[in-house]
Amino acid sequence: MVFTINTTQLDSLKTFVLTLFAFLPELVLLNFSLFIVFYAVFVWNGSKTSFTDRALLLARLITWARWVTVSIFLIYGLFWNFCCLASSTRYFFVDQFIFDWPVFVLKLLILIALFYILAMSRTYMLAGSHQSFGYEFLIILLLACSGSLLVASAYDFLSLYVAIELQALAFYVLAAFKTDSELSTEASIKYFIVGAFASIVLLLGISFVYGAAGLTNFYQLGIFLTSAVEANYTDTSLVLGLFLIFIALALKLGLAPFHFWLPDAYQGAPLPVTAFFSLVPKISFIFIIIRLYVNGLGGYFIERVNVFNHFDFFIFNYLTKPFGFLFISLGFCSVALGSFLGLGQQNIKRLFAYSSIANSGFIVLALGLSTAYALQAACVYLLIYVLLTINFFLLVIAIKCRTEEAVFSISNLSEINSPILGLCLSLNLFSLAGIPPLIGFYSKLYVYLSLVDGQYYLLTLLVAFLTILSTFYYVRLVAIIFFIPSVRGLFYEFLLPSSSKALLARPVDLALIHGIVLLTMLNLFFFAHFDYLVLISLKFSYFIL
Amino acid sequence: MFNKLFYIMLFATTSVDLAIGSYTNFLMGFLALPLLAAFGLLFLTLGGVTPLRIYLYSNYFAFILFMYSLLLLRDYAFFIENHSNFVNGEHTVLTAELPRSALIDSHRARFYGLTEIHFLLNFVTVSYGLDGISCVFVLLTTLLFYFSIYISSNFVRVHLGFFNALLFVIVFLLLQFFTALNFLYFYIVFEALLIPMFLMIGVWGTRGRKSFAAYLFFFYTLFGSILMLLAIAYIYVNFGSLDYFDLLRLQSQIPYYAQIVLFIFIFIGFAVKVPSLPFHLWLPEAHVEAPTIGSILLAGILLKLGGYGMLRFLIPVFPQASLDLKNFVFLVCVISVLYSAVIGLTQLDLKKIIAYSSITHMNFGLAGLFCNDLLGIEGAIYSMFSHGLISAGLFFAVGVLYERYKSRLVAYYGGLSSVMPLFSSIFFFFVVANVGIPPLSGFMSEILVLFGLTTATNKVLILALFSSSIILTINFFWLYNRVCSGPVNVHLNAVSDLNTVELLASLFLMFFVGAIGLCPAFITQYLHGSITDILLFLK
Repeated sequence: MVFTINTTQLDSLKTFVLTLFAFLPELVLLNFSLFIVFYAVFVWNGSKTSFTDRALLLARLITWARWVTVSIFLIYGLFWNFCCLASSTRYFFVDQFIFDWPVFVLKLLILIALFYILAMSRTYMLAGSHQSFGYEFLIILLLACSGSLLVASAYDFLSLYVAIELQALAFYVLAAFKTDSELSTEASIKYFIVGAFASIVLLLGISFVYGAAGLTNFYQLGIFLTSAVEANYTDTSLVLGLFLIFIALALKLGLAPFHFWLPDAYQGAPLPVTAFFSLVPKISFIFIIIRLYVNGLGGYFIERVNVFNHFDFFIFNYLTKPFGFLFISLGFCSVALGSFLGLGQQNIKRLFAYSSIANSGFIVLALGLSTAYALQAACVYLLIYVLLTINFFLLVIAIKCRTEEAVFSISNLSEINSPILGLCLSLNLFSLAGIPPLIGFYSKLYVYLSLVDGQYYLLTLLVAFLTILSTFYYVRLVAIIFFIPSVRGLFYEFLLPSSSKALLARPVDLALIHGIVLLTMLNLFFFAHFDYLVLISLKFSYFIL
Repeated sequence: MFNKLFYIMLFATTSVDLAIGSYTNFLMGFLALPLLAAFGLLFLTLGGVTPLRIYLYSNYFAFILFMYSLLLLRDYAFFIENHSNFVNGEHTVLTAELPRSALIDSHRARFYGLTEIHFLLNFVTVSYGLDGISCVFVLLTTLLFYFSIYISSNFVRVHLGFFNALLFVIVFLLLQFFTALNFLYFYIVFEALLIPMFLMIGVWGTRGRKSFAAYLFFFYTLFGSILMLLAIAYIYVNFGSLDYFDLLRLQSQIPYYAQIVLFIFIFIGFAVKVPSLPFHLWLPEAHVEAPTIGSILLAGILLKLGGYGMLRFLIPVFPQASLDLKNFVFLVCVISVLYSAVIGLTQLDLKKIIAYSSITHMNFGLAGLFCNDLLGIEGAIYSMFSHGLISAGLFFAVGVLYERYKSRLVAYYGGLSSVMPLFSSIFFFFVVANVGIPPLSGFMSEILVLFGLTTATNKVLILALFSSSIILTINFFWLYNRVCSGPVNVHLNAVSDLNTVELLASLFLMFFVGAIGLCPAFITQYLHGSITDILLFLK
């Protein structure tokens, strides 16, 4: 019997392969977490092992998870071309999910973040500072990550809601993982209450939109809204619904008037989880805001003006100014509050929480300008923020590991005894502060440029002065690191052989060291790489538009 | 093993720099050297090489850099002989009647080693070029840098390797600054200088107040430069280019009121560095708290960034605004000059007295920059150069005292001329040079600026400058009397005069102060062409 394939079968095969490719990270991560469940049941509970052995076991599991992440990343990287071919947008699962170039980049970004967060949690756990991590930690981390990946590719309100819930439920558990800490429990409960409230608001918004349009799919809604605009049809409940959805996303993101839970959640959660909170949900939520308000429902809010330049693609104007105004005012509030409230912080995690509020404020501010240039600025800002945040947490974990004492009070930073580590951290902080030749400057510059481009001169001036304020708290950290002598003297004798011996004696992860070196190099010598990053974000914004 | 590392780094740095220089051009080789040397020093320090070898390594490259800059100056002199006053390939007498594009072309021909590094999107274009004005400042930078590195063995007690690496980074940025021809790149370098200076003041500073001083330095400059950044953003968005030669055409493209606002923003950015009056508070603090070499760099080179920046990116770019706001600038100068001269009289700290005199001198130069006269602008640049050398000498002298007695209070000293004769004579030399006594460079700088200002017909300004000069003279001779004459203060014990390194270093500076005082043309010969061009843009 000759084996033949007809066209329908071929098509379905193609769809199958494409689906497999598009959802590779989610599938692999979910399956791997299932595997951990089995592994834990049959290996972990079966062996009556000491704490150290269990920690080593979890460390081994985390290493496997890291290899899995790397291999997904490599597969995606190897099939880059395939992906670019597939970058003609494809929809999956009855148009519930989308896979296009921006989603591809987003998934890669989330995978990079996951890789380094796994390295951080391994180091954190082996440093022995915390005793109660079980294998559940890894499972929930992976579940949260696949939730974020799904959020990034959601193209329907239903799938968006389900993905957000998957992500959020995992987050509540993750925040509570330091079981012997009251702060951790507080963080988890706060996160849970705010998250549940945000979900309710989101659902309410979705039902308003559904009530007005009878649709939940982004694409169909976009068509509906475009024709609605053409017919001068306005519906209060539609606008209200979209407003509520934005409020829910702002709650999840921790933008300024809705930011109260964020510092507590950051402070209470264990350090790798704090890193996770400040990376992965930011990426996915900011992207979904872009998707919803700049692209998906574009027709309603945005008028396409036909300027096609070599690099500036389209220029957008809001038809309804209130949404742009909402974005700008929320963004400005976040920048202002993040800059002011960060000044008085003594805890490095809380400080970073306020800094991340200010940073997401910058991104939303740029999105509110609704020009192609500003969108590009927001993308560049997001990319650079992710890189700097990874670098920051890697450094904090490394310090914690090396000095074996609490680094969370900023006055203890003066005890950093390695000049190289201190230098890397201060370069990172200067970069976050936006001092030039470092990358943080370029992201801020882009936002200023787009603000000036939109002729918001007063706003630019205010934001610039607020940035000076926020510079103060970063620079204060540098001053603590370098200016206050530690007990052992400021520059501990840094001899390479002895310190590498010390390095081997301690459970410092090599991925940690590599990450620090790589990201610091990127931070320092950005001139050569800058345009490549801009190109990525250009392509990104091109496909979003 | 460590010796091997030393020789390997020596060889590697030299050969990589030669490779860069021969692959691109002479200027690029010159500009790349300090960064390479900084990395070499970092490797050496982390590799545990002895401080002596670190000192030798840095001295070697500082000296090479100095020689490099002399060669560069000679090259520039040859270059300008062949290329001056070119319009459409012919020698022409330049007049204001020529079309602006011809003037710009001719101006472009004055730049030596024009190099542009375009990245993909032309967003940040790194472009370099050396004209006469840059030449002078490059010479000042490398000269003072060699001086600082040479005395670093005496003045830096801890972490010599990191300190010298930081110095090399600072000099790398300074040389970029003095040759950058793209406004954004210029700004990037301008602000990047904050990081190493902040660390230098904070880490190697001497007292508890140092972090306050470092913050003041950092945030004053950041405040000014944020305003400048917004101006740059406006220009980039509305004009589309930040290249120096494009910016010279800016005036006809941007409305006049916008030019005025941009002028004020950029002026504030540079005025913080000069420093002019409302923005001067950081300077005395930073000078007092910085280590000796930090003070030398601050007073010697970093204060010149403001003046250089104005001459490069303010006056030729906004000619109409700078003519119209001339009196505003003069007002700022008058207030700063008088205020700082009078306040200098009341100070108790040696470094503060010198710091306030720096404010006087720099604002003297600022008045010269805006006087729209060849002699005045040349005098302003000459005065920056001479003040760089003289204030470096003065801070060096104070550093010598501080190293011995750990005090900078004037009241602590007295009668040093009988116990430290060598020190007293070099201190006298620099005091005399600072107040402007004829054969030395201080006199020439004042007289050139004042001659230039006579065309400005602003009597109040000239009167203020004269009187501040007199107050300064009184103050410095009084200072010298209190420190070096009279009976020896009873607190002074364990006296030792200058050692060889210190003596040689001060002779090195004194030679240049005397030489350019006797022959100002050594500096001004490089300036004529570029400043004539700028004056033509102003017409």
